[in-house]
Amino acid sequence: MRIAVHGIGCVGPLGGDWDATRKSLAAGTRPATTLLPGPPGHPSHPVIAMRPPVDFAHPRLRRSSLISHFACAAASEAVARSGRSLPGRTALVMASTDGAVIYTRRFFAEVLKSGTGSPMLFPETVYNAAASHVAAVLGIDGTVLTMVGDATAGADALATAAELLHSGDADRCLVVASQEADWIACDGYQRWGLAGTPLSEGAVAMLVGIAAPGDVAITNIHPGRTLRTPVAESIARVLAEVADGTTPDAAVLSAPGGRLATSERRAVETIFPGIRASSPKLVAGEAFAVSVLLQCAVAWQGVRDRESAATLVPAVGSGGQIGGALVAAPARSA
Amino acid sequence: MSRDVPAAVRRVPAVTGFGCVSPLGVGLGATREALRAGKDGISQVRGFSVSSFRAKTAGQVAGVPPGGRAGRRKESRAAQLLLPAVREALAFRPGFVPDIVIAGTTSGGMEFGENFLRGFSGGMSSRDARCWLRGYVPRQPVCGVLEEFGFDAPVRVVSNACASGTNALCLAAGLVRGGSARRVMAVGFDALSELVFAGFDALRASTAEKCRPFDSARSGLVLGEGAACFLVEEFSDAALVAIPGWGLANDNHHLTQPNPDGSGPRLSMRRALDDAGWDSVDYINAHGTGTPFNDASEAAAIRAVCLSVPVSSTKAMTGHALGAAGAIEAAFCLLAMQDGFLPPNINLRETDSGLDIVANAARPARIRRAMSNSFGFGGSNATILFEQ
Repeated sequence: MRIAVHGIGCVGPLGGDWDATRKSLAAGTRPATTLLPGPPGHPSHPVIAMRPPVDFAHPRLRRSSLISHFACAAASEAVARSGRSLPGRTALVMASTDGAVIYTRRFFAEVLKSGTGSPMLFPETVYNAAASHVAAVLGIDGTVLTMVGDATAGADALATAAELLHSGDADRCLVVASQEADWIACDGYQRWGLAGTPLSEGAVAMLVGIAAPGDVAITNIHPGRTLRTPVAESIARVLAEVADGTTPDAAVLSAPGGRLATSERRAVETIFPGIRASSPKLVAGEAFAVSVLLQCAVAWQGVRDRESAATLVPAVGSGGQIGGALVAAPARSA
Repeated sequence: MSRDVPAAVRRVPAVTGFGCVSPLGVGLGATREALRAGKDGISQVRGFSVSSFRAKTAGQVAGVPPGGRAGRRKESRAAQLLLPAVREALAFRPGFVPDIVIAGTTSGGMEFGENFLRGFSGGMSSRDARCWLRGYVPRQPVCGVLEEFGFDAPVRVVSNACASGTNALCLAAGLVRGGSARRVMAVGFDALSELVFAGFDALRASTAEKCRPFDSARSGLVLGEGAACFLVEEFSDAALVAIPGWGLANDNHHLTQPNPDGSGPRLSMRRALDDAGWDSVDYINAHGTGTPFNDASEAAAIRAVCLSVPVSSTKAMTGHALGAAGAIEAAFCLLAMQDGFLPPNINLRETDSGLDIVANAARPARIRRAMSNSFGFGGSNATILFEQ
């Protein structure tokens, strides 16, 4: 299944749109971290936060958490950049790792403290709240799905979009991932021993459709597999399936931190010696599902700008799954 | 998984095995009898204090066997609910190994998430924290159960609020129909959670009374829990029922309230019927939560799409199992089709729905074509069709 990218949107600490984000990535300077204070007796954690955060002006978002503002901003930019209006059969597939975790934490804290929580907070704690807001803002009334998981939820969302397009269930698909930085998520990330880079936040959106013969395409989107030991071999097997006989000249790594990151790099260098490897996460920080879409966006832009003929995008998740995709120039993907 | 399947190739997906765990029973045998008898599966909440909430009851699963490795480890209740459902489904198709698993859930491992959040007020060891965090991840209950059977298939989790279970089944059917996968396992699961219970109570969506879907004096929903599992493959001699169509629609009216005109449910039902090429069905298992808004909206939609069809909501018996609800109710449809009865809509006194509600007692009927509706927060509407 080959899908074309018609528009990209991105908001985060690196910039308020895709152009600004690309420039920051090219400059390679990681934004300064700020410290999020924890509950009494618990440590503060560093994050790369968007300051000031995006405030997407829409009546629907007046009580919503940051994750929805990020998602709506990125999605709107992706649609605007495509230069076309959304067709009636547009699907929205959202990827999220911990939803509106700020509201979840606040709501449950209220319940624990007073025995009841705010009815304003609870609806925003459901995983699909952000997708619902994006759909309302853009007027999408068809298939709207929220895929939840570790970083590989971003890959799941892309795979689901490709399947909806190729089965004829949608004519276009808006794939969005969004993440907000909260102390709870930081603490979990630290406890899992994955803190290779600071936690970050923001959103990436891609408006995709079935690729025409001349398009740069995201192809061979792997359905995913559960990681087994030895981990590097497990990753290598999946990435070989993603490449499917193509020899990519570049890889945009997921760099999930800790030993997983080491295994990922070893796997890529073993099966594709000499490959040019980079990871936007080293500059942008860890934003789970958002990071995978950012990898895809960076890979797509690189192939489109003829910096690469075929770029491998591994998606290694901290929750024990791996997926990936290949971004290929027309001549190589034909 | 195959790639580059022509869009024109459309196989007919079918259910070849299923299992169900709900407040009506653990397993299809107990569930079938309770469903036909109109058993009230609602009881006083046992797992946490409800002293500060208006609502006090829920549909809770009793007698979940703690079997297997999942039972020995510190596993979530969600995994414990899911395990027997998966085992029962797999018994239909010995040797079935899923290419992929699609899971629908609203709360995921929220029980562990609650422990983690509680831990910050004191008494949380690093070991506990890691365990609770691991269990909090929505994919984790599914992965734990799959490990029990030696499966390492990828797991995709769809969380579309209360439509999640039906969404999972629709996605599974879509993978088979589009040729992206041959053997798909679809599951829906949710365990009763204090956070979610508090949430619905805060919204005043839950009731302290009996849940009375489609009753003129309905006052709200009662929460529930459970799990169901389906094996989905291309239609063959092994098929129990075909899945000839489904429809998804998003109602952009409000985050928690459906458009009163029923446009969201109407669109999902219409799309499902169009997808299958049908005009109507023999039975509708309604979403029917028992809230004033949901039931009015759904009734308006049903009246607009297929007025004269018998309708029941089984949530008065089970409570609303959120992400599991659509999967459980799909299993109820299959049992009703196999055994020839219309499941009852209990606790009904008088209806203002204008529908043919299967009031209080099951009716014998031959059901060749059934529809199951699931709607959720965020305007998620999902409708799936089954054919025998």
